[in-house]
Amino acid sequence: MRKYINRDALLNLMLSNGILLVIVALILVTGAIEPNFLTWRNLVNVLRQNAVVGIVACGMTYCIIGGAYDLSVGSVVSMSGVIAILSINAGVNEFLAIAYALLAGLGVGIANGSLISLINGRSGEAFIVTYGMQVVVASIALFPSNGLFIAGRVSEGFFKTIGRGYWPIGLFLAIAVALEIILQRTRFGRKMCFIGSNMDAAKMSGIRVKPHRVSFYAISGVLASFAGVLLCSRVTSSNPTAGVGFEMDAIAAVVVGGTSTNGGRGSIIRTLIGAIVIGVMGNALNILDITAYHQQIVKGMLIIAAVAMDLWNKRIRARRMAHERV
Amino acid sequence: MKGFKRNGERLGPFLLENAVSMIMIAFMLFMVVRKPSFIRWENIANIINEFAVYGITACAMTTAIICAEFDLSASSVFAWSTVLCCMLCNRFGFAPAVVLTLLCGALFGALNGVLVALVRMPAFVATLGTMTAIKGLAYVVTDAQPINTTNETLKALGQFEVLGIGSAPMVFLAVLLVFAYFLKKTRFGRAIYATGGNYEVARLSGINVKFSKFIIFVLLGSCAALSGIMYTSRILAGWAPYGSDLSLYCVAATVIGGTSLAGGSGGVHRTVIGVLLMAIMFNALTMLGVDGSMQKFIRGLVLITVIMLDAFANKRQRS
Repeated sequence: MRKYINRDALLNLMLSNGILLVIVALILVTGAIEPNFLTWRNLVNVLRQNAVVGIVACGMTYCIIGGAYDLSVGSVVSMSGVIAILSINAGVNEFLAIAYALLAGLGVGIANGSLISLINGRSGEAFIVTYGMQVVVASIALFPSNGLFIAGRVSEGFFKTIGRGYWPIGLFLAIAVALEIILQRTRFGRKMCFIGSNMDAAKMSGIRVKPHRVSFYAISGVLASFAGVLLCSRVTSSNPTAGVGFEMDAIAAVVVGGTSTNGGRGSIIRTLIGAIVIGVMGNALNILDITAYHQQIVKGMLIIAAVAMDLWNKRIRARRMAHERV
Repeated sequence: MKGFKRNGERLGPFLLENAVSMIMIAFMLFMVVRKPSFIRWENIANIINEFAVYGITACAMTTAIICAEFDLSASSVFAWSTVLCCMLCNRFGFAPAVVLTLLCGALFGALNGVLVALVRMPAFVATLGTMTAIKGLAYVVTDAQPINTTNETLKALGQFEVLGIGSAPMVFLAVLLVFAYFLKKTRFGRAIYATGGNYEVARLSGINVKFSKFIIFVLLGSCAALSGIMYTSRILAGWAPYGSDLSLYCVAATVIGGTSLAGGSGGVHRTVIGVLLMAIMFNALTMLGVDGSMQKFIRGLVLITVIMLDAFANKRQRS
């Protein structure tokens, strides 16, 4: 009997932290093969490269915990970069330019949230509305330059700084920690979980579901536009298709981290880990000279393995709870 | 007077429920007035040839949505099939290429089916994973280069036409009729509706729900492969980036047609309207000289408008 429980506990530990074990094993193996991998400089590089997707994924986590996906974030990343660079080129103060970009993201988020909560949409409707918004916003990003790169006339200053050095990493970690505290320690965060796990019950308990849902999308939109600003700041130019596919990368980070796609359960720290796992894996595979296309195959399998492990873990827990009750 | 009033009351919901068809008719009238060449047979044939390739997959996607699932990996299966079909045509000839490509599509579909029906993963993430992996496979096999084929039979299939209508619309029609028959007239089809409508009730009624969920993915994989073959027959080339908008296009066409994403209702005949509307819109905007990004903008707005109208119509019906 005792042996059974011990084995189960070990299995449980491995399943719930499987991703962490995968990343540790990956780092050790790659580090042993290629000493350049385990240098401080390389690891900082990996984090910097993945901070942008990571910030988008933080907003996506709120939407997913709240019960639905936000597919528009990739286009918001592109659009906000275009807006920021255009404003700076027009001679606007750099802080104001960033504010314009964030306002545009906020606007898209509020539009998403309002449309979805207006029709009381479930994840299906949310999927289509945010997909439509993705197409609309992507075309808005294309209008000003007809799809071409826009070189920014950016002088040294705040805008140019935030995309470089330790700034993106610091901002990413700060945002993740702040959002995690809001999620776990405030009324707003707990309501988000409630709405995500059972919208009707939340409504009947007196939670004002609609404004809350609007706010999830608004947060997601603002974070996506901030990520777009960071991306532009790093290269001091804007590419109107820079964010294509970001929504899928963000969802992958959330899922690999272990947040349930059914809503109502999850954490930002898990998303942070998910984003880092995907980033470290990509970098390790790069260093091992595996092409980007092979990496896609590995990434796809990683997503499936992560979700399968999460499901398995849940089933074992449920079985153990039933066992204890008997 | 009383009857008149009743008719008046019914007109609103009627327009709302058939909003998409109404929009389509109004839009076509506008086009006929604005550009008379719009209704010339060449253009109509052009529209039909255009939408048929994606329409094949849209039928299967509708079936999946009726079963309350969907599949992001269809676009990757499509791209993989264009590549595989070309490679096999060059090596083994037409017939083995078509058979093996369809089998491979079914196999990928079966993989999705196992993940969703047996492992019980959410379809969105399971197919996101397979989408990424299959796309990667198509890139790896071709080294990201397009592959050409000079197979005569494939070429003949692509160039075959009757009165301007090519082979793809005929295949589409056949697929559509088969799906419509099976969904509405057979026990198998009704089981798919029941599974999508309420999984637990369907299971307790003795329906093999796991099989229903599994088989729709197999069908979807095969149809995506068939779409890929028809596409390859037209352009005689295969390339990994082809058809990357296929999955979301099919979901959009299904929803515009009026099949609810909640599952358990709708039908493939509705999706024809959705696919047709998207094709007509694309054709008309191009004829009017609207540029690419503006077209995208309009397409997105139409999609949002339709889903909102649909939701309001459903709400009215319920109350």
